[in-house]
Amino acid sequence: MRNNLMKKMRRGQTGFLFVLPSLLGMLAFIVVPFGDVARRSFLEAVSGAWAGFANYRTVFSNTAFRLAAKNTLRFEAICIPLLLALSLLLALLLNSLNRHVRFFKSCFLAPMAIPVASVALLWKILFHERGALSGLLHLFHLPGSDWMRTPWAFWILVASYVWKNLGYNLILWLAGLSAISPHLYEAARVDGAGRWQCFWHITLPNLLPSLFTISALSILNSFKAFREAYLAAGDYPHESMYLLQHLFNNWYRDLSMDKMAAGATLHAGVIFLLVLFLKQKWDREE
Amino acid sequence: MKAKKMIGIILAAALSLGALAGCGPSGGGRESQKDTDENADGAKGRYLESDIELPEKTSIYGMTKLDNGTIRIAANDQEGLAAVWDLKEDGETWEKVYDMPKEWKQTDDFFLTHVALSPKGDAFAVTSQTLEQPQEIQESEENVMMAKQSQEHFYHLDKEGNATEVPLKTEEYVYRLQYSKEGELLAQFQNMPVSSVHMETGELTDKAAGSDRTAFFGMAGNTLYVTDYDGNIESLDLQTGDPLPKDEGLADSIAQSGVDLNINSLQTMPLIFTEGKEEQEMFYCTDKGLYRHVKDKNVTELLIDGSLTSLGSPDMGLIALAAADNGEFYVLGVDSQSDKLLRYTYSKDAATVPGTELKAWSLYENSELLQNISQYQKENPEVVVNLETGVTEDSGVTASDALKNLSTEIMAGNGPDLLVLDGLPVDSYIEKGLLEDLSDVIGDAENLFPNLISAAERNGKTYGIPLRFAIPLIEADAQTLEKIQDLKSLADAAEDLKKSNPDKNIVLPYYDGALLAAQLYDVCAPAWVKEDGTIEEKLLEEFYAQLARIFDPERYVEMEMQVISEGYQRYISSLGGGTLYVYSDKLMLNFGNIWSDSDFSQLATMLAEKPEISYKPLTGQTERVFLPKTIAGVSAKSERKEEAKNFVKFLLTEDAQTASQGGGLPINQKALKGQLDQIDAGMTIGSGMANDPDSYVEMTIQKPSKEAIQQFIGYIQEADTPALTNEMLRNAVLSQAVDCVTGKITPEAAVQAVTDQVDLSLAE
Amino acid sequence: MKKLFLEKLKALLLALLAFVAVYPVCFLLTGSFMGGGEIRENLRAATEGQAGYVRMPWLPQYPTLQSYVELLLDSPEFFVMFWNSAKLSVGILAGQAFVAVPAAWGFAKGTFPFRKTLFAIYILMMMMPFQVLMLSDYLLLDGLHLLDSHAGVILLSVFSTFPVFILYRFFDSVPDALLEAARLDGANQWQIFFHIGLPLGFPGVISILTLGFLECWNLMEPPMTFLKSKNLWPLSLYLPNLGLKDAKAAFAASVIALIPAILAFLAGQDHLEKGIAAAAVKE
Repeated sequence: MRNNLMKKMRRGQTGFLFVLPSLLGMLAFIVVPFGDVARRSFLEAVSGAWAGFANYRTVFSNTAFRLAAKNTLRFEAICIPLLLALSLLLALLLNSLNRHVRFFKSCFLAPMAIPVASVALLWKILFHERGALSGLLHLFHLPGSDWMRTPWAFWILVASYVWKNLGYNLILWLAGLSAISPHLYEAARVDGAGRWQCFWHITLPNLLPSLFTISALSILNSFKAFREAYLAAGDYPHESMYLLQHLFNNWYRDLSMDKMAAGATLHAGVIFLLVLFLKQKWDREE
Repeated sequence: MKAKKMIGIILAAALSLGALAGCGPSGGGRESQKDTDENADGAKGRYLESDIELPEKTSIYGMTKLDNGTIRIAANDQEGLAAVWDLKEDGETWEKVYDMPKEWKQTDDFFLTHVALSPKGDAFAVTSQTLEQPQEIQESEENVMMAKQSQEHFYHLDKEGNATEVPLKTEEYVYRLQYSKEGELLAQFQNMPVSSVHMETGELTDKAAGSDRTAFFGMAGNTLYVTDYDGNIESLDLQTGDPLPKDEGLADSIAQSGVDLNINSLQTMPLIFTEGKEEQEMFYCTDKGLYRHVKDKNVTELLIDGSLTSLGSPDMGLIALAAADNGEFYVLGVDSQSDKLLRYTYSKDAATVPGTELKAWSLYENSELLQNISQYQKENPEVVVNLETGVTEDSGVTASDALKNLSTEIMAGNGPDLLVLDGLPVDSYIEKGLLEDLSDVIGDAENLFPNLISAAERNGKTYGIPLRFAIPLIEADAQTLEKIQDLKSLADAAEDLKKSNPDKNIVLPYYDGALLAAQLYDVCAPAWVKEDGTIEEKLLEEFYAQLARIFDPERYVEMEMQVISEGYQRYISSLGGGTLYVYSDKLMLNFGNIWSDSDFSQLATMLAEKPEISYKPLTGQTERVFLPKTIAGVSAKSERKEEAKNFVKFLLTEDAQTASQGGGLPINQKALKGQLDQIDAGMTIGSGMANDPDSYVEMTIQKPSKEAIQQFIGYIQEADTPALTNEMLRNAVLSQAVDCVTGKITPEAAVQAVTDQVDLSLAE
Repeated sequence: MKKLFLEKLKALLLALLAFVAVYPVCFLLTGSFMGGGEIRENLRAATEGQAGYVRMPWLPQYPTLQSYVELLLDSPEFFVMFWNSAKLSVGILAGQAFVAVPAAWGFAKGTFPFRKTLFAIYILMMMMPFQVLMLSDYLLLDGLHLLDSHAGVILLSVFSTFPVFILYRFFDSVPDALLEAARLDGANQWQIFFHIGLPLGFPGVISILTLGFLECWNLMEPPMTFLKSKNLWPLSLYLPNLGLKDAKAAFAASVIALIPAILAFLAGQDHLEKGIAAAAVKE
């Protein structure tokens, strides 16, 4: 009994040593800087005087912040489910296909390799007022427009995000699908279940555990969409794709570190709740 | 439960460690600052620069060090008579050696163009007689160049100044002449290799291969250095004429210094040489500084840092270098004002690195400021001003990225002491308390335009002082001009003129919507912005509506280049471009900004010669507007506020304000008056329009009358409304103007597009 | 019969979607083989405000290597930036391999207190956008005198928590029974990690390196914020400077920047799939 405890202790110690370098670095380069940001959110930008919750009040009453927060939420709310659904659909399609699976996977993964700047260049060529999209519409006698300067800009951002991450999520789903034991299906079919019933009662429930990881990764990747938007449309894109990251950037540029710190802390808070929510679900499944 | 634990741990870790992080870096920053100070206190010894006053007020042809160590120059006096002078032992006064022949006196068509001085005491001169032949006009892409035919004569002058003509026959123009240490004259003619001139026969012997590739040459002792247009330096032995193996050490050190070897004029060179006392020793000088090099060895040391002296000033061009026997150096150069003979004397007591470092930051390149920094450092050897430019032409950094970098530096405590506020988020800076009140600096400064200074005030405080400004004017015939009172009457007048003069250009035909809007933006925009920072949409709509009336689609000619850089925008928005056409009766209305004395010289010439044409300040939706430029601010976080303020005070002095590189008129009245008084008659300027091959017009500048200057200054004294400096709004308004004037979008739609863009930034 | 038809239809649909995914790569390739004149002609509508529309042809009309020659021979700064990118990537990947791999193992198989809580913090920090930490990281690097150096950028990215997250799932799937057996044979924790964990987790390590490489190769904000000297900039900062006007250089540079990423993909795809997949599947 005592021996066993000792063993467990020692095992814990070693396990911790494995983590230690990473943990120290993470504390020093991520957690501490984040703490610094949180601290700054209660201070004035240049003088460093105590400001209490003044920065938070300013940020909450700031219309640009509200717009950016709304857009960011909208973007997440639309593109994450969209990406999840599309990639699952694609995974199911691909899973039922017997040939060329590898080829298709490679194709869908290709966008991940394209440099961000090249994607931005493509945006400019495609969505310019006299760009390829307008040209295509012109063939059908439809009017073109400077797409990035219309409410369509938001959908360009969504499309670009989906296009870039489809392959990645596809593989995640495929992995989830392959982990479902074929016996389950066989058993169900013996019981006379149809395709749809199989999907609803076997496939989906068994994919649930994967869902949470995939969503977390999708959210993570969604923050990267900002790069394309920034490179293609600059500091002030069309207001429909004006994200929190744009606002933080601009605040930073104008030396409004106080507002930026408060906004960033709020942003982190929301992510915190989100992770908590996902994690709880995840743990419950476990 | 779990969630609570997590929050607790995160907060504890974040806050306790966060506080540490907050202090650590900024403390470190201060420490490193101290380090440099100590170093500066430690090491002593530096070459200090001084100006040597030239005999009378002269321009110099050349300089040499005679074999006996005397510094000798050949110079022209104001009468156009040339003479040769020696610098006396005291290093201050000049002694005339001889006058050049009286018949070489400069006239309208006769010039003494080159004088080369030999270390042996003799000299070589070139005169040029303009020929009365039809002018040959060569057209290049942008401007029309003229080459006048002239006849050159070549003379040898002995030690007493007796001239003998040298029968040198060549059709090519003389570029450069220089004597070697042994008294051999080397010459570079257009399209010819560097060659040696025989004094009796005038025969030319090639010294180096490669003819049209030669950019310039120089000598150090017995080595000839020939630089080609790619910046390659070839060295040759002067005595044998054989090429020497490449001096890799020299090439490397020159390349590493970062000097641009492609900038040279007929008079100046980017790189000049001279020999040292020892056999293999040589010196060379660029705008980066003066270097000592041992030939064929990897030994090069920087003796004089160009950035601490006038060598690094952007307007300094180098002509000749001499190393005196007592260890001093002499550099002959020319800046935008006059020829300069600079002496560098080693001072044991001066700190090697100036003890006080001021950091200045400007978003855009600013030549006047660079020039002023050189001046200031010369007068204050203990101070060095480092100017950092956010957006340079070749860096590819956007203004936004540059501003972000500036923000980080300010927050890290490494921010600049002095800020050029043009293009910076000034409102935010003031709100954050970043800018120091400069009222005391203004109190100490003299002769500033009081109206322009007080316009920069905010709530009794001045956070930024415009060092320069531009003023928008309009030119037209007197009758029309009288009718133009605001933007609407300007549009009325333009339409009336269009009807009565269908065959003429009313406004410059290469103005598209954006350029036209750029001309009028500054005099209208102050009216649009309401107190709370939002846009008065009605007025902006009116602006677009009137703009469309002024625009003439029928005469509009598209220009090839649509890229509008900052410098280009300044050029295009200057009044000068159109004055020439109004003068030549090819343009009815011209409006734009006076940026420089040269813009004014054209205006004044036109007024003198065309009494029917008149001008006045341009009134749009606002009146009495001026454009503040190079707005200087001092950081409240700076640890050298006093030094920074002293520098700003210097920038406002007449001396500093005289610097003129087209970046605006000086805000110092005396400096402005001085510039305008100094405008010389005689220069001919010409230009042609792209849409009309017969449109070439030219104007010969006259000296402006006292009255014209007085009237102009009078208009400046009335200005009291600063133009907006919000680049975001400006870009938004101009970009919508293109489609608005052509009717593709309505003024309402244009306003909507502008507010959509601008509201976001205002809301931030 | 019906089944075959359905199969065909599915394949067709997939092919169509795959084409959409891959088309931009083809477009970049096509563009990179065009001469300057042809590109200008195709993009004229967008760059010079002329009538008509941008054209995106399938094949270059006059194929030429001109763009590549100019980029590779005449722009020394391109090479410098390419090597800077390589340097940054190697540094970051090496660092991540040394730091993240053991950490993931520790989280997966260790039993120390607060293991789950700490891991949750890792996930939280993984989701933090760069802009949130930009200022504080700058101050930190300034304090360490690592600003304007590759070391600073590398150091920051090495401690990214993303690879730990991915690898954690991977190591987690290593059966405990295997470890127990090894332990009974007298192996200590380190031996178990090196002889069982690493070989079994090898595809996972390769997959985080592949993903990490793609990330490094596209690194933008950190170098832009922390590197002042232009000669230290990576390729990812060179590309954005090439607008539509420099489309010629931009196409060729894009393709050259794409090549290492594609190579990394080809080399790592099998492992990558396993690695990504491990993250999704729970035992």
